[in-house]
Amino acid sequence: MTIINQVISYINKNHSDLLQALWQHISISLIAMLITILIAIPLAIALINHRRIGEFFLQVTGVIQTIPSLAVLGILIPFVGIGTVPAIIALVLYAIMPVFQNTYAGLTNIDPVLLEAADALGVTPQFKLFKVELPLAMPMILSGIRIATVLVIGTATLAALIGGGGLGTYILLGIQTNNNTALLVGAILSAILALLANWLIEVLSKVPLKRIGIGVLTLVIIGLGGTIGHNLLKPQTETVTIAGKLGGEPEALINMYKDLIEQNDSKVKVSLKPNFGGTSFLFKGLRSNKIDIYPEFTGTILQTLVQGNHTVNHDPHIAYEDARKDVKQQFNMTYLKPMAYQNNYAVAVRRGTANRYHLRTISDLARVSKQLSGAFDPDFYQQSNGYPGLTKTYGLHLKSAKTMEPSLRYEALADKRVDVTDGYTTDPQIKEYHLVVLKDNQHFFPTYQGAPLMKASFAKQHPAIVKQLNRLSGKISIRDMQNMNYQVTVKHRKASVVAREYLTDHHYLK
Amino acid sequence: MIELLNVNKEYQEQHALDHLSLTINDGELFVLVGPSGSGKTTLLKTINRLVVPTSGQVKIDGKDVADVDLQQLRRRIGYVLQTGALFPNMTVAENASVQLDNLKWPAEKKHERIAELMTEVGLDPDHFLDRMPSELSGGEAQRVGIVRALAAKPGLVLMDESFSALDPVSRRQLQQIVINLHRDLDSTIVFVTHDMHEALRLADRIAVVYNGKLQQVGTPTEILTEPANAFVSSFFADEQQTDQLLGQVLAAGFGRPAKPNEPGTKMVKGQSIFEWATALQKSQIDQVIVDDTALSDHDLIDYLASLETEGDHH
Repeated sequence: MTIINQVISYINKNHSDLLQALWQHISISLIAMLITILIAIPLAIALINHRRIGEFFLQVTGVIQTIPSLAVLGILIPFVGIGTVPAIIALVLYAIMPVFQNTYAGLTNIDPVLLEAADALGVTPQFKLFKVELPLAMPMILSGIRIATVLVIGTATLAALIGGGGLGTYILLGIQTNNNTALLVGAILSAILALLANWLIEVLSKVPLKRIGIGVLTLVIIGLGGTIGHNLLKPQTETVTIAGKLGGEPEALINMYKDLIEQNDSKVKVSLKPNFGGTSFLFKGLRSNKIDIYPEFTGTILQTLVQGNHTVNHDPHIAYEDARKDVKQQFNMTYLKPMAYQNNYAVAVRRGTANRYHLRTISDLARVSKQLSGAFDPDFYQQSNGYPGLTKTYGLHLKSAKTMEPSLRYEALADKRVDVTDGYTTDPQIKEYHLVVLKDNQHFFPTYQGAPLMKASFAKQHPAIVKQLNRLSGKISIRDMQNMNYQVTVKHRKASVVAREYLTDHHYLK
Repeated sequence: MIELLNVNKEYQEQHALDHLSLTINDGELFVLVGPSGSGKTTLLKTINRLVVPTSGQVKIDGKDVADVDLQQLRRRIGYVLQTGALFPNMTVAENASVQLDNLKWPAEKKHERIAELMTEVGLDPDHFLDRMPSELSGGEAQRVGIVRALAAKPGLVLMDESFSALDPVSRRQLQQIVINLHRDLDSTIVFVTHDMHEALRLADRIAVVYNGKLQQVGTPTEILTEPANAFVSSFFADEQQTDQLLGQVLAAGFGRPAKPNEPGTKMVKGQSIFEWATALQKSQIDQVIVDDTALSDHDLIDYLASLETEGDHH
């Protein structure tokens, strides 16, 4: 019961955002299906009398189908960037196979006697296609479209991974922030959507084609009229797009950016894209002007984004200066001054473990590491500034060390299934589970400080926005950030509310 | 006039049609008969070029069908397939007017023509025009098939084993419809069948096809009385007929009372119909007298055709 109540209250609280995501989901799926139909059906028609090429295409579409959707997205990003476009392309690639296969099968399995009759009566090719072949293949074609639509609506949840939006945003958010309610809402809504679409197509398949055509035309006219009207009535404002990585912390940050910018200049409208994706998605989005600003860490810029072999300096000021110079030089981007808190890697243990073995530093942990087991984020487990580095620098040799989905490893630690895990200093779970962060006494971990990143041209054209964002430089302590994360991720309060509270409490807003 | 000149069709080095020549006259009800696999359907389909001959020429009214626009050609030829072959997505009316639609007839004229033909084949237009093919019996579907073939008033109608899938009663009714329509219209009809009773019943002239070769062309009487070779005689003379005696013909009600001293070869009831056929062939006036009944060559053909309903239930 509690789960149902949670879902209902979550929907009530977020209904406008959910509606927007739902609409996005529907439009992505619809556009993908339209393109699919426009490609697959004419292709199948063209190949009716070229069976060998037809069979070849069946094989090709079948092979495409076997490529994991994530891989397709990965392959597409270098060519078409991020956002809805690659999502739609990937969906089309998936949907083509069922539509093409069914259309082709429908068209090539018509009773040959009927085709002979049509030929013998001397009908025109158009008559044969539209009055005989297509109507006879229609049940097959429609069932292909139905299968593809259900597939597309399900797969469209992956669009969220590359900033395409839609209901997947909630599923992803749910996984990232360990919020089962959001996950359920996203999953249930997309399932209902798929079922509804399935039902709708089945109903429509019994309606004469002519009436469907008139219906679609009416909808298009209404839609176009609405959009044009909406655009005419909209006041002239500038829209600035700010995106954030997955998780509660960037969402809280970009909400603060929005409040600061909008209260300063009412003509600027800030559009937020929280949970937009991983580092490379966001950076590409910034470079292709899809987004204007996003908060990035000094360490990430130095280690992932800029070219050259960088060790991140342990002095945060030097690390920031390195990052600022390189990103300016290599990408002509402006990196504003960072906030106070450092979001570093951390090694955490339960308070009980710390007390029993008298652990304060990572060196202390290394001493007893053979008796303890650990679970780590897959990245941390592999990269040289993660677990392998700890082994090298501190001589840390755990009894067992495995990888685990980031959102689950804290629970595993709290449930005493493992004794050690990695994390970030601002993680709210540290507060939630009363964990102890061991001191990095040999300064092994690089320092990560967050600050807004934007194109230099954007910064030059918007000095007022730069000024507002700079108000946060040197502010927000590690405790502040940990608390905000706790509010958003553990207490499931809205990031916008938590951000507004912080700004109000600290007198940023008039 | 339809002329097939040295028509040859090879499938994988097998002769489906082996250098075959044939002339079909205008207005004839011409039947192509032969066992299955004989090439008769292939022959029929060379006329509307559903089958393209490997060599040889097919001419309709002196024009080679290879040189004319195919769709134009086919729209002027009626075609009735083995089953109704009605389009299941269209109503009876839509099916019947396929050719008229493609010839762009105005709606009213179209409806009038279809309704007229529906009546002629014994289907009430008010009752049937809006039905779907799935709601029709086999016989009804084939009647609609005939309406569809005749709608555009074609000078030539091709019928490919059109009644062989029907039950004997429907088959007989439809044969009668074809005979009536042929009498009322002046179309040429080329009819393919493997059933020699059907051939005898319908044909003005019969062509016997076997192994892709033309065995004999002639009127039903000629075929029966002067079979050109062993194949033709065996095809037309199965046990049933040679066992039949003239007494059975009389008992079935054939013949008419003979006038006193009417000419004709005298025969007795105990003689077989094979002897009857031979006698007819020799006779100058095509009739024989059994007791006081005169039997003509038409009686022989009608009698043979009638046997089908009693003995030949396939």
